Amino acid sequence: MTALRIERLGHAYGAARVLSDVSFAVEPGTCVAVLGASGSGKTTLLRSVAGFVTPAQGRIFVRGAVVVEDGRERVPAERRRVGMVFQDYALFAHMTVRENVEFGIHRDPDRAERVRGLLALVGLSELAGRRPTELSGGQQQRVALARALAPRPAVILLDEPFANLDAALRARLGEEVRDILRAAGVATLLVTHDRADALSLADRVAVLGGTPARLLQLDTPEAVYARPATRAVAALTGEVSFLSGTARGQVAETPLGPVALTAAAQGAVTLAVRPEQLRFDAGEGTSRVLSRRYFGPRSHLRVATPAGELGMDAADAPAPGTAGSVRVVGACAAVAD
Amino acid sequence: MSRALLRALAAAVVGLAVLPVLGLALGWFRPPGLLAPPPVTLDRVLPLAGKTLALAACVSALSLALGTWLGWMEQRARYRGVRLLALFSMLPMAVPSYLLATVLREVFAPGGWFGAPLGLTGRFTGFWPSVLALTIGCTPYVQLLVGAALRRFPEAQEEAARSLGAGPWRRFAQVVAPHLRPTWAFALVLVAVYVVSDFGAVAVLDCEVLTWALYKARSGRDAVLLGFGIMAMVLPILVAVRLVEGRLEHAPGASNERSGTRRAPRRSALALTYGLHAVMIGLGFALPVAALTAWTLRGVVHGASFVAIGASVRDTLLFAAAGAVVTVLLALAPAWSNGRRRDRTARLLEHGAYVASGLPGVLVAFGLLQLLLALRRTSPDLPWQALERAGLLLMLGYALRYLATGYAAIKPAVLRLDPRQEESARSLGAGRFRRFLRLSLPGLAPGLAAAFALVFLALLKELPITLLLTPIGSTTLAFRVFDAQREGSLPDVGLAGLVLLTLALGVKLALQRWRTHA
Repeated sequence: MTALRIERLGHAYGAARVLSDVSFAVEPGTCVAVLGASGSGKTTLLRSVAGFVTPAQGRIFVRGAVVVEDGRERVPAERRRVGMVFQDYALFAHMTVRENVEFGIHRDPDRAERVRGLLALVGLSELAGRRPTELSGGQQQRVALARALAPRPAVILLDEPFANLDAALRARLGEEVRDILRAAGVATLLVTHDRADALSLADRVAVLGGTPARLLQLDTPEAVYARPATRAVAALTGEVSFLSGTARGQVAETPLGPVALTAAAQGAVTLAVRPEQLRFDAGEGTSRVLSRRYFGPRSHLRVATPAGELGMDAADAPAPGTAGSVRVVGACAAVAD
Repeated sequence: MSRALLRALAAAVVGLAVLPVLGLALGWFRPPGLLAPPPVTLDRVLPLAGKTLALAACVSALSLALGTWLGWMEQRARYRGVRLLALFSMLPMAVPSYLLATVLREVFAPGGWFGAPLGLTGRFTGFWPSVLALTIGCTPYVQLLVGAALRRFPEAQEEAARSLGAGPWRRFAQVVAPHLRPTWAFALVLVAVYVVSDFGAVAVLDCEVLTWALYKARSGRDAVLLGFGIMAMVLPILVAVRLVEGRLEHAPGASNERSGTRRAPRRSALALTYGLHAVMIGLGFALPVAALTAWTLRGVVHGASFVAIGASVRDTLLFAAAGAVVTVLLALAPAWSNGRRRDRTARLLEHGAYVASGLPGVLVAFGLLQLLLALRRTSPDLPWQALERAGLLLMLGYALRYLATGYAAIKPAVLRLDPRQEESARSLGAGRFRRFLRLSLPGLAPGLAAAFALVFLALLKELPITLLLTPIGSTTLAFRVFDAQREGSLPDVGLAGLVLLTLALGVKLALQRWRTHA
């Protein structure tokens, strides 16, 4: 049975509409990441599922049962079986780690065993007696996860879960969290504005955009990155340059020469080109390096080309002013405006 | 001025608090007058202390329960008029306790507005009427504190508890209440010290507690014993306030996170809330305004003369303004010294200032009077009486009682002064005086103005110190209300009370607007 289904969800705060006609589902054991810019309605979507906001339109089903329907709350938050990991964890500071995890299962006769198992799962068995203030950010994150998992929820919601962690920790913890959730077999809805988190952790990515926010694309991380449907999706899922061209089947003619397409098209098209798909060949040509940012293993170049100014990655680091030519490697997606 | 000198000055200001205590102690050795003083017995003091404690316990419990409920509803419930009612529920704070007590006593009297329809036969005085008057006065403070604590409490914690299946009572008991505990403790001691120190309500409603008994005794060792009885009761509470306040400042959960969302309450809860608002705002503000207006109009209709109300207004404004200036000037030394240097001595001085200002007004005034009498006995040739006649003793009493109010408003302004600005002025060759005049003073000005306004507001309504230390021949509005209610001259109470309320509300409103725009 589908763990979470959202149907034509819409909401407004006063006169400001923030969400419109959003529909998708999350299957048990899978993770869907909702990706969008700030103010794109991601948090409203998440809070609607949790039961903290009653959306004005649409329906939400948890394990097949409707929990909210066209502005009417059918099941309150405390009975939805939807766990949530908050951005700042929201741990109960006056309780120990054990008491925090136990909070949602206080009537369960086997709670001691369950808490032990969960703390072992998140690797915090030794810290059960500590208070949240005595833990590091990563440890607090894991307590929040164990607490949310304790009542065996149908769905877990993760609200910008790695926003408060440093880069090294977020990469490590991200993998850990994904593994824990997969081991628990729970459906996960992750809300983030960080495309790296969305692409690396989710099985599918739901991209929100526009005003009011709509679902622009729902697909695998590889698909939304390599085959974005629109300019907005392409920009939200990674750095991108846009090339104008004329498509004839699987190839489009562009100012940089012929470019392979991910899907056959005809007529005028806009191609989304990722930085790693562009190559700069120093020597003869009408292109010229405008600026260079050095990142160690690679450099990022801004290059003036016959197709306009483009951003690209390069293994070597040609100096600004270097002349050459630019070509596109691999297939590009034709995107709608 | 060197730091050591400034600190010595600050310590001297805080040390002034010893004067009433010293006066009280010296009063013990006062020779008996023509009439022999009544025998000094604990038998007389202990029942009074017991009644004072009982009054404090009843008022604390009631205002804690009512203030918590109203604070919770104000922050967490969604109902019609919630913001307006929250604003109106603060109005009873502008009504002095003696004015509210007078109105309650008269409207619940046999034949009064409420007394007649309810068929009341006895006088509306004593313990329970005092509980009612003081509860109405204290509940808004608790409501404010609980409301502020709930605003600081992060919404995410309540939502986390909801998502883990906790219903409203469990969320309140296990998640919210632990965070409210320091606030409750603070509110409890604040209300307790207010009740134990209160003079106006218990005097008007003739409730035999320590402060009222002390005022009635006025002289003799019995009075001194009562004074020390009050002090023994108040000082531990004041120390507790300081300790709890320290914990409150460091309580976890204070954050800028979103506070709780509002939910529609059940009908029964809504009815209770509207009912409580009606009682608190109705009895605490609307009724006093209506009664005072009616009494004034009755006086006008019956040709009452309202003798020299203008002089009373002038004296009130004059004494309050002068008292506020003296208090702010005295508070500046400890505020400046402690704001610039945070160490153990600074903390001790701060605690000292707060504890000293917490002593009940009637005790401060009585102690100062005893001190004056002792000085006259010691050096009869010196013009000690001139201190009282010139109003200097009154100013000193005001300053001792409201030192902490001035201090609390000035210290944040001192802390906001940027030491780098002063350093840059020094590097530009500005001397100490010029630096103070051009940099510190403009920076301090809002704090000084706020301190003046707050102390001025408090002094407008102040009763016990005014009653005992006002120079002969002067009459403030508070003095006049108290005198008139004892003589049963309700039209005079009405006019003086209305003028007093208008002044107090005007200053409060101006302060509020200024703070909003600042």
